[in-house]
Amino acid sequence: MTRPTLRVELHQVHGMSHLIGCFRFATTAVPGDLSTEQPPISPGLIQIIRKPRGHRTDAEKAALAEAYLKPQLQTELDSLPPPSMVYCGTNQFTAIGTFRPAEKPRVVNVLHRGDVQQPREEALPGALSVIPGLNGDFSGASSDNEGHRRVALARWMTDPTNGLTWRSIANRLWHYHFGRGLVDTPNDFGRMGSAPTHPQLLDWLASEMRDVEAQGQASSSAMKHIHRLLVTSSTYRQSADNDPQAAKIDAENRLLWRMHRRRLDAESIRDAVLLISGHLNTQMGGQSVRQFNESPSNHVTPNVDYLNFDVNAPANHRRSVYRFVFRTLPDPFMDALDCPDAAQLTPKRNTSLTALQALAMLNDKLIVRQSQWIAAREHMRPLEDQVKAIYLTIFGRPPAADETQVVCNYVAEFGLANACRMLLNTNEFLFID
Amino acid sequence: MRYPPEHARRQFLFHAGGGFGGLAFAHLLGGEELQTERPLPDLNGGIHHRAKVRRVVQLFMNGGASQMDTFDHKPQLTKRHGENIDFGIKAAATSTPGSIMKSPFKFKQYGDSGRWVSSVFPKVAGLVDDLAFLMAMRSKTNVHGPASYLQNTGFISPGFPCAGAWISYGLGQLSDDVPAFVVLPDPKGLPYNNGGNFSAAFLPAAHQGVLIKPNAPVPIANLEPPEFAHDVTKASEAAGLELLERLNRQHLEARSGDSRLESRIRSYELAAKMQVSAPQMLDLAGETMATHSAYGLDNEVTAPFGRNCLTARRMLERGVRFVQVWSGAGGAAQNWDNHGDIPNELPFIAGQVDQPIAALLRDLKQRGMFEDTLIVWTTEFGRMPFTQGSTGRDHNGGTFVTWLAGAGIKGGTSYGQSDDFAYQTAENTTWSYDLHATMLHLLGIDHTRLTYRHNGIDRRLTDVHGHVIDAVLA
Repeated sequence: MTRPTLRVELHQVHGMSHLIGCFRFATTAVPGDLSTEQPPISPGLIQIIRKPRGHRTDAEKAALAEAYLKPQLQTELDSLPPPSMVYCGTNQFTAIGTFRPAEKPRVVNVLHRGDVQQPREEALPGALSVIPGLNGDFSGASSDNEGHRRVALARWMTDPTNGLTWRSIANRLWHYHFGRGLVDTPNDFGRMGSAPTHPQLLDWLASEMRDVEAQGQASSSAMKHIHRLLVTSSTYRQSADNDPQAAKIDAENRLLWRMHRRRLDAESIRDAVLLISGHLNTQMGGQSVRQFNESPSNHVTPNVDYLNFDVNAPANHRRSVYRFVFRTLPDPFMDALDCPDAAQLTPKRNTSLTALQALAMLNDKLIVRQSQWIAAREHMRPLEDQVKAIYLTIFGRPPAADETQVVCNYVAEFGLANACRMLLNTNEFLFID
Repeated sequence: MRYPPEHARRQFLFHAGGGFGGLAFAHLLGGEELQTERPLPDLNGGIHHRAKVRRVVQLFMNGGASQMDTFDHKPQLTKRHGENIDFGIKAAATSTPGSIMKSPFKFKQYGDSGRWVSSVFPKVAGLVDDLAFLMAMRSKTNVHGPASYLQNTGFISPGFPCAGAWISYGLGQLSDDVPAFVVLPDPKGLPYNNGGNFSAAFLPAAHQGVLIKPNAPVPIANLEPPEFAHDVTKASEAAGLELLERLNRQHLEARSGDSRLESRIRSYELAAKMQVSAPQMLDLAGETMATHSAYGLDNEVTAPFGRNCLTARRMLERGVRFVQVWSGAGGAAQNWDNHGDIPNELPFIAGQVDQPIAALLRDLKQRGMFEDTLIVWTTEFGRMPFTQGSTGRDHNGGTFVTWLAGAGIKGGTSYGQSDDFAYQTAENTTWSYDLHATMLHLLGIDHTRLTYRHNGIDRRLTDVHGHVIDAVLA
């Protein structure tokens, strides 16, 4: 191995009459740039450094550690993304006005026939007692500290022997992927809920999920694991085609002999249309957006005007989950597509097919404007290519020959934007096979 | 309750169509949430027993119409005017109780029934023999929002279907061309709770109240394309719908056994019909001058509510099953929430509705529609016997008045009584539950059997309450 030669040239440019004294020179094999300026070491610190290791006091050791670690930790802290806001329930805060947060949880009584005037016996903190090996009685948790009760509930819910939690999460994931849960009442696993169609499958998914999490993985990995199991399953990958023989035995497809055909929900329709037009803003997080004009009214509740809201406003292009949902004054477009009012829990969406929904899909300004934008993107091409392009973006497939023919004829007479709007109104677009 | 399999139910609805148009109904519902029962022709369109009523118009006085200044005559208030009487409350909804206030309006007896009516309703007064009064209605709350919910949905909290939605769900449409349930708000704005008062909540969206604003530039949302849609013409739409149907039919061919696809195709046919029928329904030009002036359309005070009432009649004629007409927007003024000045505020708002309501009743009678139409006049609560400020009255859920008229109703009757001060109900108290049970009863529905399973509970319009008020039935 050849030794590298290091050549050093010293140019004396400082001052006119002094020569440099005590010149020293060192090399290191440590990679990287060492020229970064370090803060000067204070004389006090130098004294500490000079002391032999065993002779430093605790205070001196601490000062040394701080001087060494603080800049390094600060750099690391600075490189972290800004913290996200966390909301939590507490009574430890400075209240506004005359409000005084309760120091202790208040006594809760069972109200006879739901009447506030008729409080009966005290309701004690607790959960269901039906799970073997799991104590549902939280009365041991301090009654003075609400936090203790919450912790007791959290422990009860996440205890590995509590199948209810994992089953209901696994079932919900199934519900969203398949359009119907293995238990068809996702919010209700009690006596009033439906029995599972595939109890062993549900238990297997629940235990898979629990065990992945028990291996110390994050909850999100456990979710991902189940998502992957579901969408790669042969059941999920079935077509929605009908089989009259099977339909005779199981018309409701409870046994999943085919995929449920699903109508897109309101949010998905809206987002899909924006995605197709190229205007969907995929930004994650942030404040919700008001897709309406708001003005003061003669009452506390403001006037909320969807009709005159600027259809081109950037707020309109955010994903539907970021919509500001105004209870009791719903967006008429979303309302027509069965987007529920947020006043009640809605585990399952209705998918009605009404004349008013048809009118909304035909004439709502969002649909009309996005159709124009899809058309604007494609209109320079030859007619047939235009039709081919909109079929590819809207349906993800090229048109058949006869489709090309009829749609071309329509485009020739009424324009591409109208054709796009009609395609967005098709069953093929709104239903997933 | 056990449901037959989905498929069988669908088949049943498709093939049992009959005169009512069950086919269209099934289509509109889209298959997922079809109910087990349907209106039967031999029950006159009822589902549990013979219906006397086919359609309903509800007149809702938003804000809390004062009972003792309209229909609940209380000589004790006059006698003890100005006295401070301890009712055992330190505070009313928004104020400290003042002294007893007599009604500033003259009361007179009208009709064979001798019903007392104050001078704020001179025209309705002439029709008292057609009306059945519930003189002791009660609310659970003194607050507008919850009280309006209670009176519309049977629950004080949001998120429950209103009476119109339940009726649409139970009975469906009378006609393909028009929605089953229409809401005509006050042109000044929506009531307290906004759309929450006419929501379908967890029932399928098909049953929610369709908001129509006859007094606004765009009365029905999405009936026409927006202004910037320059390339949308009658021809483009006609050809477009044809193209759409062709593509949908082609799509359907390869996908048997799913009635929803067919339903959606049909929903576009209905939409096209509605585009033609709805403007006709709102076009009052064909009505005679006499009708215009009877409803007060020639007077700017009565015209807005009058237009809504006349439109309501046209809707009922064309097969809308439930029309809800609102008087008064939410807010501090120009409604029935007369906190500040009963002598001036109440005649102002009552003057807007008195003539149109009387005209509507007369018109329905004249056209023979009284035979199968129910008219309900109501509000969310009453007002206090004592003053708020100098001459206002605060909210009072203790007692208020509702009246009914039309098919199945015994005109000239009353049921229930408030105490001497019209402060609380005293005798035969009725609740929204009883009113709703009675409305459903007249429509051929047993209110305990019209249910919808939501989050583990078979929900009802009447919750766990409700008695049909036989005393006012013919």
